[in-house]
Amino acid sequence: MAVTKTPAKSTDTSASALQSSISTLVQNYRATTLTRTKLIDCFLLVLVVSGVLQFAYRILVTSYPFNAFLGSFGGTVGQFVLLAGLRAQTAPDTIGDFKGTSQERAFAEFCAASIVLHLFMYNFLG
Amino acid sequence: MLWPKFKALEVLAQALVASQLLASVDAKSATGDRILVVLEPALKQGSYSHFWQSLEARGFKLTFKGPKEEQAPLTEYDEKNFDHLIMMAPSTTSFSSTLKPKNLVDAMSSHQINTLFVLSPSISEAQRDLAREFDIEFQERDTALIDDFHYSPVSAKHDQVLLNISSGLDSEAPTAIIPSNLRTSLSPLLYQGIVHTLGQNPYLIPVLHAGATGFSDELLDMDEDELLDRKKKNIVAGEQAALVSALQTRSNARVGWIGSESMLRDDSWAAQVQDQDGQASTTGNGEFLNAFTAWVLQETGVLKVVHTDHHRVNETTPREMYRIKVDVTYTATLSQYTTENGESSWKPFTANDIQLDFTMLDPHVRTLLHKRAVTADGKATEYDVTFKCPDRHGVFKFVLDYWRPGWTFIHEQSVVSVVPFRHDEYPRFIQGAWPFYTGAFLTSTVFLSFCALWLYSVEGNKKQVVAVKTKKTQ
Repeated sequence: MAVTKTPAKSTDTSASALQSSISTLVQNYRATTLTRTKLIDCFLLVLVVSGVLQFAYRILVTSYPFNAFLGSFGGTVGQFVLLAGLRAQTAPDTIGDFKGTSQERAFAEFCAASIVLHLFMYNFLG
Repeated sequence: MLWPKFKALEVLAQALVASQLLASVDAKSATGDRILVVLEPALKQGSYSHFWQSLEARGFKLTFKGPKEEQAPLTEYDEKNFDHLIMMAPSTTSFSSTLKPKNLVDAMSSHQINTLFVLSPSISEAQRDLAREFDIEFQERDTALIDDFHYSPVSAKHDQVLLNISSGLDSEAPTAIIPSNLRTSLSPLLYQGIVHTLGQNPYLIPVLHAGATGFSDELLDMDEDELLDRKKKNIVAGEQAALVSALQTRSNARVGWIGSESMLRDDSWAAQVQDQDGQASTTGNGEFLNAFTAWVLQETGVLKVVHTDHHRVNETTPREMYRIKVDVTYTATLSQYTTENGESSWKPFTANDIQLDFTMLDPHVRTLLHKRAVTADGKATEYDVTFKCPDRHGVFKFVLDYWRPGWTFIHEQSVVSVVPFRHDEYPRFIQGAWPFYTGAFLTSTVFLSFCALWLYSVEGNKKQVVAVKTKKTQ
């Protein structure tokens, strides 16, 4: 934040400043984030890429079996939401909002909801 | 469960129709051989012997009655007592209850009784009124067709007109009524009678009209002054002046009008006549009247639908329901009844303008039926067409409509439902959907592998959580 606020002297310095800030961000993330949270983030990224690719295919190529698109895209988005929910309940910085729920319970709920979601997804897929 | 019962009834009805056809096989007419001839006393039965003989030779049984004679009704308990009616009562003003105009029209429209009206210049107002019901306007009493260029010198007023068929035949007269060999006949027609004009009724079929020089005029004797003073009226002449006309009702009863009773007489049937220049020739009245009455009495130009069928391509049995967008084949077998060289029979009917409509309120498909083959018994022609059911579900009708002047009107329809795809009829595993299938499997794989890795990492995570918690508390 500090980097962007200082007036840029040249593109070189601002680029290097951005680079250093990103590396700081990554370092901090590596150092302070839990393994399980990292795991969640990793899979969230995969889901985002998959969803974007599906949507691009639907826009650029075909949406003909629209039910198949709805099933897979909805499933991907739903899985992303559920996973994000699990992250909110387990990551240390937000765990305070969910004091009553243990990690095990959060995971069990995530599993149950995901199974229902997958049933719907395959039903739509045709 | 009602359906098989209907089928049984249908088969029974077909058997009944078939037995009726068998019963009347010796007659030349497709509908029956009983003719009621209503002859008024002023006309002598013996003057028309050629005409009666011609009818009897064609297998008809004639019953003669006077117009005022009380008699059995034309139809009783919905059964016909007569199949045809010949009305030769031009000057009669009142009829027995059987022959009241209302009963005649009912007999034609409901019971398919074919009627031939033979009229003359002494036409009564009652007959003119009846003709008006069909949009035919006869000229006034005591007027007649006059032609000062083509006449028999016997007639001082030039009212015995010699008319060439080629010049008098209406351009719309169908070949079903006047066959092509008669159209080029050189024998003139001897016509001594009244003229009528045709209105807008689309069921009317003009057959014969006056030649270019023929017109309708009064027959009364007038001296020269009277002629000059006479108020000039609109003159009906040429093609407007109809002499012989026909009509086919919606129920396929046929009606004919001949404005000249003397046309049927023995002395004009096939008589030697001289024209105004003294050239002798033989009249063609007999030939013409035989052809015309053959049509009116349903000996020619009769069509019937033997059979219709519809089924999906690669199937043989009809369905009650067809899915949208499937290919359906419709087959119709048509037969025509004709009389050729004195032989009457059902023969194959060939035409290239038969259409099929696949209709729900509007025709969604209108297509030409193609001739496929003559049936095995050689009596009918099969037509078929294959088309794709429209992408629209609802109650549809296969409608075979064939209305051509001179031919029996055909209106045949069968009802089917067009239904959408059943839930299990949609195509599955479409090639274009593979990215979506992959996406779905990927999501499942992601979920399963996430669960595995989550459970695997449980130990380390606990330590980390504890570490973070202790860090925070410090």
